[in-house]
Amino acid sequence: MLSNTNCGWVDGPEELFDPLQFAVDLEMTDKSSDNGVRDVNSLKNDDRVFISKGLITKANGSSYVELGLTKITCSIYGPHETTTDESYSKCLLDTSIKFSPFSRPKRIDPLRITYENSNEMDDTEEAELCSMLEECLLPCILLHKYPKSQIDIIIDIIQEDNEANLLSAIVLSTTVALIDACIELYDTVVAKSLKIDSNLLTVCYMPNLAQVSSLFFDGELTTNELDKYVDECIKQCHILHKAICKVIIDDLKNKDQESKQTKIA
Amino acid sequence: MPLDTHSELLKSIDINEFYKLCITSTSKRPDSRSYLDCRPLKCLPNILQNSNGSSMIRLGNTRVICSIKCQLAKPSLKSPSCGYIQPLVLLPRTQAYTSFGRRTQIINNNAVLSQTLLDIILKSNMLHLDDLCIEQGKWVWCVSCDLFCINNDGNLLDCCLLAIVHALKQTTLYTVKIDSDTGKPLVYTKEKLKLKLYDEPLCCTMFVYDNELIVDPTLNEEQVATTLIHVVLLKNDQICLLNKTGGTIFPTEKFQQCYGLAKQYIHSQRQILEKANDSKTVE
Repeated sequence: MLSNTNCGWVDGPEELFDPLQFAVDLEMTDKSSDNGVRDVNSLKNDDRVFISKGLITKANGSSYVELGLTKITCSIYGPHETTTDESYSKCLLDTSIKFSPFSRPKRIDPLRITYENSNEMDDTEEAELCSMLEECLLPCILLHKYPKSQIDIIIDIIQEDNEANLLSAIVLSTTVALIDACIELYDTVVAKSLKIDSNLLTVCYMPNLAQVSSLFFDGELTTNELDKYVDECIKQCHILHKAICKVIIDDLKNKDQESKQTKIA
Repeated sequence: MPLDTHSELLKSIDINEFYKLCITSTSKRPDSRSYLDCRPLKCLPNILQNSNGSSMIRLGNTRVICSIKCQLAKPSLKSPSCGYIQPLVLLPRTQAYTSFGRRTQIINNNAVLSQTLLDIILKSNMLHLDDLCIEQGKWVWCVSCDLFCINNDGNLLDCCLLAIVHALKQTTLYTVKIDSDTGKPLVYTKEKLKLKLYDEPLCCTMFVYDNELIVDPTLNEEQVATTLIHVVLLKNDQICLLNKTGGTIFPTEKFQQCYGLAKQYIHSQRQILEKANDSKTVE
């Protein structure tokens, strides 16, 4: 952390105050959603998906995903030789998720963004997201195909809209980036979260194998209700899966056409 | 990465040789631009919901997001009626994973770019720090400009400056009144004021290769180049910053040529920027 201090400003202010904490014409009840207008929009926007791939030129695979108003980039390095000698028979996954300074209504101090490619984690939320992502990816990657190597997954959250979308968008972007990096997969993993009152249910699903790779749930529900909501999630996952397929197939078609054109030329 | 052709193989082995071959055989650059062509530029305003103003700049493969966040702060004792402006560049974290950068080097680059931008903003008088004052000695605005590079494919300074100018144009500040009894600020979130900009400095980056001036370098070209030249011009075509990195010897007459090129290049940048602004207001 010490070497980061040279990013700081010598003449900078000692303390910064969020102007919203002094607001006088803001109702306290809808502080999180700007005067209620956004609520109507966000319902519509929740279904909007935008996927593009290959925008980070130096990475082996990369993707940019917008899910509702959540915006995420993911880039993949590897498989390359591992620096640790923990594992020889299988591939290691190294995930790193960071919130950008402007991803949330409150500005995150950018000095906390480190450039370390080790497992140094100082934010519990980021660490939790990392472990959740690893859990849902491990069943789908053919790890035994890449012995003595590791795959780095680097995710930057440009904008976070609501927590229900976040993990879903992260999984979506990682899957697209893994495909872009030509890493062998059993299936494409897609995730969908549902927010029922204060309960949060996330299902990571592999549509072709019809298997659930991981499921996170916190809250209180009866088993019947849970069944119902899991079915609902899976239904949504199929829609996301179609979106991924469309992007990948379109991309392949474009590449095919380009290569044909260059051959003619 | 598949290496199908001979030229791709050469590119990954010896970038200098590859570039030389490309220039001498076709007298065009590897991405089939001529010497004075720049990459397609695209400016998108207001892409973030949590900022006071934001923009995204795409110059070829280089992508930069700028977010302006205005917060309240106490002024320094030295200048009680001046606000703060703090540009901060964050190079992609992904760069630390390639051979292109070590961690310390990236942090250093961040600091250098940030300081250069601050110098340009202050010297060009594009925004008066007095305008950011709410009450002298008590409260001022602190404008933090976070520049987040999604992908670095060269010519970052041009992109960062474009992004800052474009984002500051969108920036609105809340109206603030000071409660005379308690001295606390009262923020009216529904009354917004546009930040006033007095000038628009824009940058043109060139490099010298084989005594030839070439504009808008990519990341590979920045490695190959012997000398990089930055020219920052104001609205009235006056020079705000001129920087030539070391390397080759350079006759003074060539600066005239640089200035002419920069003028042309920045003029087209300004047109695109204005168009991006207009299309937004029509909506």
